[in-house]
Amino acid sequence: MAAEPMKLNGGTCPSLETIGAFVEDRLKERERDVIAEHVATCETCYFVFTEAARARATATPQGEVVAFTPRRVPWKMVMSGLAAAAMIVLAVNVWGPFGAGNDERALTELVAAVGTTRTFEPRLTGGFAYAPVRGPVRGPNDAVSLSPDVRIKIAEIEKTHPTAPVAATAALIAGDHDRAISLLDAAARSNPNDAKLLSDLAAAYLVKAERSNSAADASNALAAANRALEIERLMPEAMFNRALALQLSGLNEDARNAWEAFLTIDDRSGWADDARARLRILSNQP
Amino acid sequence: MSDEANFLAALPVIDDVTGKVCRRHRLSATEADDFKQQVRVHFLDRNYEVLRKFEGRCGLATYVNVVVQRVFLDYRNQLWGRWRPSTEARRLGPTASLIERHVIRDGWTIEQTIEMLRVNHQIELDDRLRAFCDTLSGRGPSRRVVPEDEAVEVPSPGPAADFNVVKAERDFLAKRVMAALDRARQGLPAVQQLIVKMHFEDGVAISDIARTLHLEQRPLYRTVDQIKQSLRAAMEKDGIAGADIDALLNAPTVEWSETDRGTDTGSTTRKHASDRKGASWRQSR
Repeated sequence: MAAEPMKLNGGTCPSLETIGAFVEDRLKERERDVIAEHVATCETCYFVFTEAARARATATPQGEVVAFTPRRVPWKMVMSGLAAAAMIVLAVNVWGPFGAGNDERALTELVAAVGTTRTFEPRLTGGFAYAPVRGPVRGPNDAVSLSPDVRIKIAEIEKTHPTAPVAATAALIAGDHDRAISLLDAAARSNPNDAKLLSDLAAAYLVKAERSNSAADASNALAAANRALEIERLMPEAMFNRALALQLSGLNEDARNAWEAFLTIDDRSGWADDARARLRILSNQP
Repeated sequence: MSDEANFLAALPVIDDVTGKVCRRHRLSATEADDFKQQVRVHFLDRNYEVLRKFEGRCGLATYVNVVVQRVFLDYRNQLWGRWRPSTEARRLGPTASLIERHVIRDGWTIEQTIEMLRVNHQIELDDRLRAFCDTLSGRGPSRRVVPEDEAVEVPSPGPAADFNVVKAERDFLAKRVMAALDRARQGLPAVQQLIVKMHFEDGVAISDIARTLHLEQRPLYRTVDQIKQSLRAAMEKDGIAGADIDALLNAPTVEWSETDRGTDTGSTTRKHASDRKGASWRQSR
């Protein structure tokens, strides 16, 4: 992972370069939120950030500061009409006939329907709430243990968004990890820079690895999570899945580091409790 | 480029940032020399490790700036020991912190401190800092060294007996208000949490927050109003009195350009918090 955590005052803080990137507004939205939350609660990082930002703000003419907004990427402006058309064709193929907006709506509805029903360890993107895993779940017949609301929502998605990434999410929740992998793999090939797809692909491989005890699938999951984190260094779902993949692969020392790294970006949620529980288990192992 | 060449190329930036930090935090000439050496050693240490670790995820000048600020924090901790400036001093900037340090920690009189600021730093106090000094003189210096046989004759510089009771009440209220603010803040999105800390705790002006967090200034005013409403509702639920909430949420802000100058015309600051009705708890913070 590119973002090396730095130990400060007994706690773990982002690296000074990450704080620098935050000062310059070079982080992606999710990373920005993670660092903002940390800075708001860590006096040391708050001091470093505000003093650096203050020195920068008072040294630079205001006009330049306002005009320089790296997050508003200039590549969009230089993209030719042909490339734009190609992107549209690609988007139609990948996201299906209903567009990304509908896809997101379907995902939001699925997230709401699933609520706190968690049937596997890995973590999906889309804002699924934390819940303890509900008992051991095995095989594609798991759908029967889901609530009617969830099953209806999954059926709707399969009908209206059969090839969209949300269908992969639905398939995974329904217990069909092979279909989820196939859909996500195809989508990730078309959108190699979509960290969410890669993180979900890691989750799907992990579900398969857990159920079939397959080292190859755990390794695929690790590769997908690593790729997701290359794109989005502090993506919580991908960090969680990566740590899980390392643990499943028996790389205990690396898994310990990965869980600790996860806890640097989230030490409050239920997912963090999961991470701490896993760290405790790992610390009892050689 | 070799590591040494990288260091030499970065040295003007390092020295420039270090100089600015020394000026901003009013370091004396000796302290400034000492700090400058510490910064250089930090960059030279372990075969230029700090610069070798730089991956280009931000500009070099910003990276150097952040590193120097971090070194300064360590230096200041070394200089101050366990003593920390109050929230009010932090809100008012390094000059207020320096005044507080000499008066509260070192036991100087306000007059001695003002004279030192005038002679060593060419700073004349403005209304804002003078009001802060008045608050400090109310607290009195923590210690004054006199020969033992003269001690009997020295009147207690401390406040009246009942002052401590009132102060304890204020301290308790301040803690309660800040704890309620902290709880209310946790329910906000990440960037808003930082806005709350900067604006309501440290009194940073909205224009500076907008520049720092790369947000548009006009919508930020609306966001801050919305945050105020949600904080007010949450704190009222926690049983905090309206006047205390007002004192917190309507506290004055200080523009960075003002605290950096060390002198203030008063044009950009609102009325001092300690002058406000219901702001009594602020004086003890």
